[in-house]
Amino acid sequence: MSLVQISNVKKTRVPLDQLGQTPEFQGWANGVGSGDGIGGEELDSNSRRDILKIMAAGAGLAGLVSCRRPVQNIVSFSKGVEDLIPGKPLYYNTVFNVGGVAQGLRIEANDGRPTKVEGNPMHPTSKGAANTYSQGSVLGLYDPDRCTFVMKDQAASSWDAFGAFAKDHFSKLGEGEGLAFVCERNAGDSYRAVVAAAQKKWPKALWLHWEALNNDNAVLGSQLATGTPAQPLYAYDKAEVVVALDDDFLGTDAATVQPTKLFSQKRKVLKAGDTMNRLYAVEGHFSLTGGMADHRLRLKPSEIAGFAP
Amino acid sequence: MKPIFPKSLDFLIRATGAFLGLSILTGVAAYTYFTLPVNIDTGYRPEQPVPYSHKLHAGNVGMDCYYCHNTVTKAGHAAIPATETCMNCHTRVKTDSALLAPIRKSYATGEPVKWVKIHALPDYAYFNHSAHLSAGVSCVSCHGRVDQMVEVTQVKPLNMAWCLECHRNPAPNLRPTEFVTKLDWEPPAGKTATEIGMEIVKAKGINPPVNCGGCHR
Ligand code: HEC
Ligand code: HEC
Ligand code: HEC
Ligand code: HEC
Ligand code: HEC
Repeated sequence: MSLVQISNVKKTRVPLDQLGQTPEFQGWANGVGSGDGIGGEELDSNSRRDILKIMAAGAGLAGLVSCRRPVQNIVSFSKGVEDLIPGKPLYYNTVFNVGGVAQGLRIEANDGRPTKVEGNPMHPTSKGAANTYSQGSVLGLYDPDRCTFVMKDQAASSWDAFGAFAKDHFSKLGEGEGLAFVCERNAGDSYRAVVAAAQKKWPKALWLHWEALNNDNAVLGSQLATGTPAQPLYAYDKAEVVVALDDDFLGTDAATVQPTKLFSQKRKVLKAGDTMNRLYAVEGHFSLTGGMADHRLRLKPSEIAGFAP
Repeated sequence: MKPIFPKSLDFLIRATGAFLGLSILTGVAAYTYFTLPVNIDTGYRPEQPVPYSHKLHAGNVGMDCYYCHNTVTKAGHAAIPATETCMNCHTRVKTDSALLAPIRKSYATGEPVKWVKIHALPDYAYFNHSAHLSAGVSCVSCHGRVDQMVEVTQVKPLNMAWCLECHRNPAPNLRPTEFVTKLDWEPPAGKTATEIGMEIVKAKGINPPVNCGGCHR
């Protein structure tokens, strides 16, 4: 029995003095009526004395403990990490995909734990730069909600169990009728190889891409324009005029690292005769691209299609 | 007027005051003396999770310190070896020794062994192994004859005065770098360790920091 439960009895507001009169509260306060009777014991001076006694003993013991030298441990690896020198960071080059756009990254790892993300200076498109998504990706590794083990039917399982299940289950699928894979887009070669192998084994299976951040519209647009669906890569370094229609290519887009580099290249005037590009932004909210724009037009998203000729 | 207290009380008060003062002084002196690093830190020999013996491995078997403390010349820390390093041999030697059970468990499960740190400086003091080893200071100058210890014991106080004593006059503790892990090294006949040390100081321009910022960064 708790006070929360009592106040739940009546939905209307009960004045405190009336609440004190309810049989539930009386029972709770006197330690009778309900089985546990916490309230009564709380008011009982005996138990308070006991608590003081325990606290005093604890304080005394704490004094004793602090007389001893604190024990420090050296926790060495079980299996050594290749090339690791304790106390020095290791750097790894890797690739991170957002919306199917690969970004070359360099990750700093301390004692086997990744701590800082930067662009890989040797990567042809990132050239040492990284955007917000890749910078933030390191936090995802320490996300307490991240699943660290295999699950089956809401219970923990193991990769071995999954292997046994998959071998049996997928061998019965024949041509792959009714089988669908749902994945995030990935620009890597090994991903492409896995897709090709799976499609060879199950020719009738569906391979679907789904993710929050995508540019499917742009792909469909290029299909309308040219007949074949294609991932557009804009040559911002050649464009004299850039018009962004609700397109935050300098801020929150999946691919911002290379566009930012190319765009700023054309914006620098280093010697006489260099021209500078001009950026027009049409958008319904505030974005970095709008902030950079020479001319910004505010339009509702629903009106932007009408703006485009 | 008749005094309330007898005259002899004066003496009693003085005596009590003197006694109290003296006992406080001796208390402070005793506390200071017995908590000096020399007295509480030297001889520290905690029990380790595995009774690993340097006398056996580094002394009798004759393994070089670098085999296990392999990063000591490259980094500030002298890493304690990974369980894997022990298993290089102990998959074949003493494979069912009960003493090695924690090592086998760690190797099988990936759970690290928790060794107890013996030599420890406070965080506000900076120390770097590689700087000392490349200058030619041997492990023996700071850790004693580890190759004769069954359980590693701290033999030097590691207090500031001790660091400075050597920093002011490093020559007697220097030797050619190839001998820094040969703990029983003797200078070649006809020369003293100090003479050799002086040569090294000149050749390498050794100049250990004695300014506060050198160790308190
Ligand atoms: C077979 C591997 C191995 C070899 C070889 C070895 N050690 Fe160790 N050493 C260890 C392990 C494991 C520990 C941690 C357990 C301990 O303190 O006894 C350790 C601990 C130490 C410590 C104490 C560290 C602390 O906690 O403060 C010192 C000092 C040390 N070793 C010095 C040496 C020296 C000097 C040599 C060369 C003569 C050497 N070791 C050779 C494995 C080795
Ligand atoms: C170069 C090979 C080698 C390596 C590496 C090695 N040992 Fe040993 N170890 C031996 C030998 C040889 C013996 C002695 C066997 C005998 O007494 O017959 C031994 C004995 C031991 C024993 C005593 C076992 C017993 O039952 O008497 C322990 C404990 C031990 N080693 C721990 C370790 C630990 C911990 C490590 C890793 C830090 C390690 N060893 C690394 C070769 C090695
Ligand atoms: C100039 C003195 C000095 C020399 C030389 C030296 N050490 Fe140390 N060693 C220390 C001090 C001081 C610490 C404690 C460091 C700390 O707590 O930060 C230490 C700690 C260690 C530790 C515990 C792990 C760590 O890094 O904290 C090991 C293992 C060790 N030394 C091994 C060696 C070996 C092996 C050699 C020779 C190759 C060696 N040391 C040479 C002073 C020295
Ligand atoms: C046995 C002699 C000896 C002892 C003991 C000793 N040192 Fe040194 N120390 C040296 C020598 C030699 C150098 C190298 C100077 C050089 O290379 O010019 C040095 C260099 C250093 C440096 C400079 C390193 C760098 O990266 O520039 C620091 C910091 C240092 N010692 C800290 C300590 C501390 C802290 C202690 C005590 C825990 C200590 N030392 C004990 C001999 C010693
Ligand atoms: C060679 C390295 C070195 C140099 C140089 C050095 N210190 Fe220290 N100092 C240490 C070490 C190591 C300790 C920790 C001693 C211990 O654990 O007992 C320390 C401890 C201290 C402490 C704390 C003492 C205590 O009892 O808690 C103070 C204060 C201090 N140093 C001040 C200084 C000042 C001021 C200077 C410059 C005049 C200086 N140190 C130069 C190595 C050094």
